[in-house]
Amino acid sequence: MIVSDYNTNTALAILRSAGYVNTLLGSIIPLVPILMPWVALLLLWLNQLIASLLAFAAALLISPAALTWNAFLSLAQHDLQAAHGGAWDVVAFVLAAIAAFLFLFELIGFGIRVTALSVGLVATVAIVPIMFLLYPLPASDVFYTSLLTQPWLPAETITLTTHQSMTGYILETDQDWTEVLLAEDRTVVQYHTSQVSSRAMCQIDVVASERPLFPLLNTQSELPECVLPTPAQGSGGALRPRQVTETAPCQMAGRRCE
Amino acid sequence: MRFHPARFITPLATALGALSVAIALSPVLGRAEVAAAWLITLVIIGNLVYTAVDWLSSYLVITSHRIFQLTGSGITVEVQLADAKDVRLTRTIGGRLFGYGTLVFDSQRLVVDSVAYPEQLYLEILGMLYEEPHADDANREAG
Repeated sequence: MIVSDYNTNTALAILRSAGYVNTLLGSIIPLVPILMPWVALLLLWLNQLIASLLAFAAALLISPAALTWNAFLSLAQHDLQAAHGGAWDVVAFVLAAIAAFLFLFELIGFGIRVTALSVGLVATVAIVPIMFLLYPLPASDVFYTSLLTQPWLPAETITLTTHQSMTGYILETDQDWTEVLLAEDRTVVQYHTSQVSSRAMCQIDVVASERPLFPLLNTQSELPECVLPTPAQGSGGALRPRQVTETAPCQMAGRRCE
Repeated sequence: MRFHPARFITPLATALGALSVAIALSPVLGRAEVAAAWLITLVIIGNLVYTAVDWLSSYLVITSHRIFQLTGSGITVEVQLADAKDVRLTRTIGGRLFGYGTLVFDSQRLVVDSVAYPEQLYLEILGMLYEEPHADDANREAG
């Protein structure tokens, strides 16, 4: 529904074209990196230390962060400079020293696993505010909007025989029809496959901040940026596509609109 | 008897650590982040308070007939001494250091940890387990 811009007809058209399994997987897989940091935190609270550490490691590598590593470091440096010594710092230091002493006792008495869980619990006091900065809550932040509305299919620049270009996602194609989810207004249209002269994969909104904190590959995508149709391209002289999303009855019946 | 205060080590260490981190981070974080940090700290301190209340209301009672554990909600675990086949005492390094141990009855049918004065208690229980039949026999013979 998010991908189809909350249009039920478009959602049904996508479901019919892409198939149930593909749609389900395509809907779930983009959520994994978004929710991974919070799952890691939940696992830590549930005393699942190893699973939590693995989830945190995965989050650092795959979850899109609101800040880059350099920006995060400079922010931390700025915060450290802003913090100045005072009575509260002394209190914090004394409490930390007592806690460290008790953790040592805990390590001797209860073993490394119990101690690691306790230290992890204390660390969440610092981790959660940092996570608010790096991974804003999906429900309350616009940071994820572009990620969630992005379909799981690759964006393509589709050029027709009339030289009209558009950006969309190919839902299904066969020798007769090519079904496209238009990126601009999220409507599903069909073209005769013979009218499609070329297709090229492209990148919509190349945003550096959507990269994880520690990207495994530092290279930016080599894909060209997608072109959006100009008003001249979108009107006169163009081939008129069949707009699936506005003809609900035939779409609901599971056949192509004529 | 009350359980050993070693039960406090983990919640106390966690609470003090969380408090120190929250105090240290408060001047440098934004309002929402500070609220989140203090909320977690309060939950951890709440756990310490819960442990304290639980400790105050928990007792291990050993009579000549049975062993039971009392908590605020009543008797939670009970074992008839006559039914107990064996009892073991295990002590970790921390237990030896701080003076507590774990009593295991009937191959872990009942496990009582953080027992204070564990060796004395273990010997007392062993005495009750193995000496009473002889006492009964002696009484029977006398009768």
